[in-house]
Amino acid sequence: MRNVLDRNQDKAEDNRKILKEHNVKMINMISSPGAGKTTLLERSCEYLQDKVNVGVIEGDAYTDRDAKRLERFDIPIVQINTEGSCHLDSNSVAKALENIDLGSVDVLFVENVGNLICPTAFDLGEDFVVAVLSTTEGHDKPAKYPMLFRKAKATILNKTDLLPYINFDLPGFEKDLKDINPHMPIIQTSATQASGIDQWNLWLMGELKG
Amino acid sequence: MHELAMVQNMFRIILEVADQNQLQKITRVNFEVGKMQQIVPEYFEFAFEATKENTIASEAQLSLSFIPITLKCKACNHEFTIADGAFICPKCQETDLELISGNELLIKSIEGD
Repeated sequence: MRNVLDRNQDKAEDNRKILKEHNVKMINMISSPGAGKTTLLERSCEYLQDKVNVGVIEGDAYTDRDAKRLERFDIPIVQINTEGSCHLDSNSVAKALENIDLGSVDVLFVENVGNLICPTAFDLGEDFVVAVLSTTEGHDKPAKYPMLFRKAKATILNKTDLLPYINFDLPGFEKDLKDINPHMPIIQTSATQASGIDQWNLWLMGELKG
Repeated sequence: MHELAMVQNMFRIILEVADQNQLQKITRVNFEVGKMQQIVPEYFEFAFEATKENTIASEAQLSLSFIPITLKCKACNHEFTIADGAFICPKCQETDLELISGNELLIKSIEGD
């Protein structure tokens, strides 16, 4: 009897050990394409830059556009192009870790490939997963993709500035999430309007200390 | 689409196990998938059919069995299975639960000669 992802799991544990040795917290950010992960990271870098040393691993199927958007911050960024694959795996992250001076990083964000299903199955060696959902995707997503929201330590609901214009059922969304992951914090943000960014980063800073 | 990555990993393992056991041919792969994994059986089977070509498993049958999500309540020890309902104990409403099954991605056994 063998787990089909045993090699991914072993490599993830190696990554976890290396990160721990260097006192680096790694956060695996998972969302659909276009939920606002990169904008959220830009806002987070602005907030965190004089508080902790940030690094980023950018997962993208083909381009380096997201990495380019973060270049204005003087931080280590490593791009992984998955050549069309829908998720990052622990082996590609292990290679990315070799290209980062881990001694100079406290918190390492991994921006996974945009997808609510596949990345959830692949442990990268992260400390925890954060799910990002945007209001325009609809309130029913946690119920449809429970594995991600069960695994996540927090869910960010982004693009809340659009709530007045769309039929997003916020109480229904919160109830579904509570059914799936009862004690998980839900943090409302609008990354483009820079609202809720303090709340998200304060939560994050609390987790980094823990 | 993670089905293809899983099938590719599956083939790495079954070809290795067949080699260790000196099998000339793999005729069946018995695979268990937990319901938490959100595997689409049609995609998985399609990936299996595509990957098995030109290997010693080229005539192999795939037997997929799905394992339900079973949880155990940490407060009252009640064990229960859910389909798409809430992660909450139906007896005492506790939400601190242990996952007993549902996360499997297991090659149970292979058959061959």
